[in-house]
Amino acid sequence: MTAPAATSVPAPAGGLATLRRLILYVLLFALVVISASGLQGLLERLFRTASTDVAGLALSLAFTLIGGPLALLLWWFVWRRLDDESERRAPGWGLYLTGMYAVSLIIATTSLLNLATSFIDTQESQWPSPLANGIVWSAIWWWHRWMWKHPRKPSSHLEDVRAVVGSVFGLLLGAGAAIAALGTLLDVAIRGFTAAAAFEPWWFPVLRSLVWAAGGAVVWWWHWFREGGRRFQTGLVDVTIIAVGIFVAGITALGGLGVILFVLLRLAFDPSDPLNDLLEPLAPAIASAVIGALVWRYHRTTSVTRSTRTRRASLLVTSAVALAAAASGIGVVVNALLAAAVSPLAGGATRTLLLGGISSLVVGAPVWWLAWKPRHQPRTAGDIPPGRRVYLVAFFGVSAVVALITLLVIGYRLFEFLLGDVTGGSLLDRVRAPLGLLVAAGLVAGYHFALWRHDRALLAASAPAHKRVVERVTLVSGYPAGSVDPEALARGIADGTGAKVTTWLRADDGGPGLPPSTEPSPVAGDLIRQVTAALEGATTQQILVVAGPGNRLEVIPLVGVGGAAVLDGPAALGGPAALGGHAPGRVLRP
Amino acid sequence: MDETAAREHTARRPDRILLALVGVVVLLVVVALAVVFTRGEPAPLDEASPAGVVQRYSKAVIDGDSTTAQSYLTEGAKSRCRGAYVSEPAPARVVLVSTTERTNSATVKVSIVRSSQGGPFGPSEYEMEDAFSLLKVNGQWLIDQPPYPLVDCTVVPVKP
Repeated sequence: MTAPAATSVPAPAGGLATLRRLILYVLLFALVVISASGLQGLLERLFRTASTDVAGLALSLAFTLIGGPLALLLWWFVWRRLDDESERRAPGWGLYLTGMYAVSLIIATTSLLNLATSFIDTQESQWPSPLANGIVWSAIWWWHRWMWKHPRKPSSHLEDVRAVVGSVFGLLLGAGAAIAALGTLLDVAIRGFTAAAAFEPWWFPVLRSLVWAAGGAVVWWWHWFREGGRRFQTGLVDVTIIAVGIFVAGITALGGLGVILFVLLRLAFDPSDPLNDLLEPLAPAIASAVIGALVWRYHRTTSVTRSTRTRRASLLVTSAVALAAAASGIGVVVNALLAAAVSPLAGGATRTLLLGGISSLVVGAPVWWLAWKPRHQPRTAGDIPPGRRVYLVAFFGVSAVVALITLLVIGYRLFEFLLGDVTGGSLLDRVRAPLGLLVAAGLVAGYHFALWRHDRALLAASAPAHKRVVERVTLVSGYPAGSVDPEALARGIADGTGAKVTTWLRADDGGPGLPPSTEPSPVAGDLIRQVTAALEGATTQQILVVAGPGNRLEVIPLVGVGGAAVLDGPAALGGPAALGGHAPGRVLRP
Repeated sequence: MDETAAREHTARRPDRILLALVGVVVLLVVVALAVVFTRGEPAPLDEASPAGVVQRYSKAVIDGDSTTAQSYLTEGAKSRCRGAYVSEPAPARVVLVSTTERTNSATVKVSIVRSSQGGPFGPSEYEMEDAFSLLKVNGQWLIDQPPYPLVDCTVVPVKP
């Protein structure tokens, strides 16, 4: 076991190798963290001149002197094994590298930014701890990045995850700190400098937030542009753009806009609180709206240049966020209406509630109108984009769950009223919030249910033309590596026909192991269209598609041995269904 | 022709639903605005009843009128209210749930609503139920134990 695996030694069985990697990388992770903590403690002690903490020193020494050499030894062992390509492609190594890269990036960035901001303070700077942390974790980050990009042993597995983790962390940090900086600045501008006047000048917190924002922006830029996060055409990057750039940024922007409107409406119609209290949420709301809109706009533009699916998803998510805002606004309006119907003992505040609901509705509804385009709904089955039905069902489902919960609450309060000694006014007051939500959920569910039924009617009307016959397609791809992606081809055929596609790569001619053919390979999109068109007239459940090299494309219908019609396919591909027969395959191109 | 007409009919149907929904929303907003903005002060209850005392006390606490609030407390309640009690923002709304009146004591259950500015889409409200304990002192109802969101201890009692 001590000898490193030589190339001639057969690799251990899959399960055993996975277990070995799991133990190895978990151990390495723990040892690196332990030695980093020890080194950080020793460095901090070096920077601080006077310290009498013997226990802390002993712990740091133990971590460094025991954890450090062990970590190096284990790393050396792992690194030697990584000469082997299969070892580098193993999920364990990718996960370890990604995990440690993310941890070291986050700790190093926050420590260095902490160090920078610790000097923007009237009190004495507490620099030794963040400096020691920053040095140690920056070194670990650099070390792992070196391993990731090593010219001889690069690790491409989970490469997009590392870039995405870095850019998401940078984006959230940068945007959050930018909102804080802008919010503090605007607050001083709007309300004047009031609090903490004795401690520090007003621009200190602004500058601190600005430093954090700049740090976050640099991390984001590095991973998004330098490390090429935006260039990865993977599902993860698409999901990140949608989840962070569209969903979170959209909620931030819309929420900010709603609060701005709310404050303005209160200033005009409900100035019951002191002006200073009324204006308090205005500055952070303006900052959220501006920064959120900026981030949202950037990702919206980015999503347009990506796949159609991403663009459509970004539109649907924008529409969903806006609809949630508008619907909750309707719920609050109903809530305020019912609140006004009850005569309370004291207080009221229904005006504030109503203005809150109206501002949410006024902000959400136009954005929803623009994103969803309710007046331009599909008129034919062909216009119904994929994903739309999922969206409709999701909204219908979510509103149904909301309706169920609110009904339960209303039922509980109603029975409490019927069984106990409770005034009618208090019953209405306690069911007004769930009743408002119920009305909003009902409106949303009704609208989406009508659309869903309408879509279903359109699809049903056009169903005979799309009746699916083909159940299973066996795709044999003979394109050289790097020309046509057989996976994309298979996905396209599956999407176009609805059949289950099994993909095989040819090993005899033009396969991945052979030099590329001189004939140019067709574009995947054209191929998919040709195959789908050829399959439309198919009458058998099983189809064999032989695609490539070059322009070769054969679509061969198959039946089982007991069936009447059989085919005349290439003998080399003969399976149980390909024995003899006389129904020739359709050769689309010679 | 029939098929085209049917398709057009199907295509136009969501439009009508949409118009109906927009109408409902607009109607809701208009009615809510009218009701909320024409709504006056809460109707005053009889001051000789426990609920009337609770109403006047709660109104004074919400308005920040500590002197008036103190006048509805028993001596025991005033003496328990010592020291700096940093209270949270006063509740936005107090609604009567039930009154239990005995010979010399009473319990008034109320629903206390607090609102906060937080939440991504407008203000949010929290509702809790609590009870006032009242005692009859010299023929007048006084509050012996207010619920903690309605405790008002800003007036430091003068020691004898």
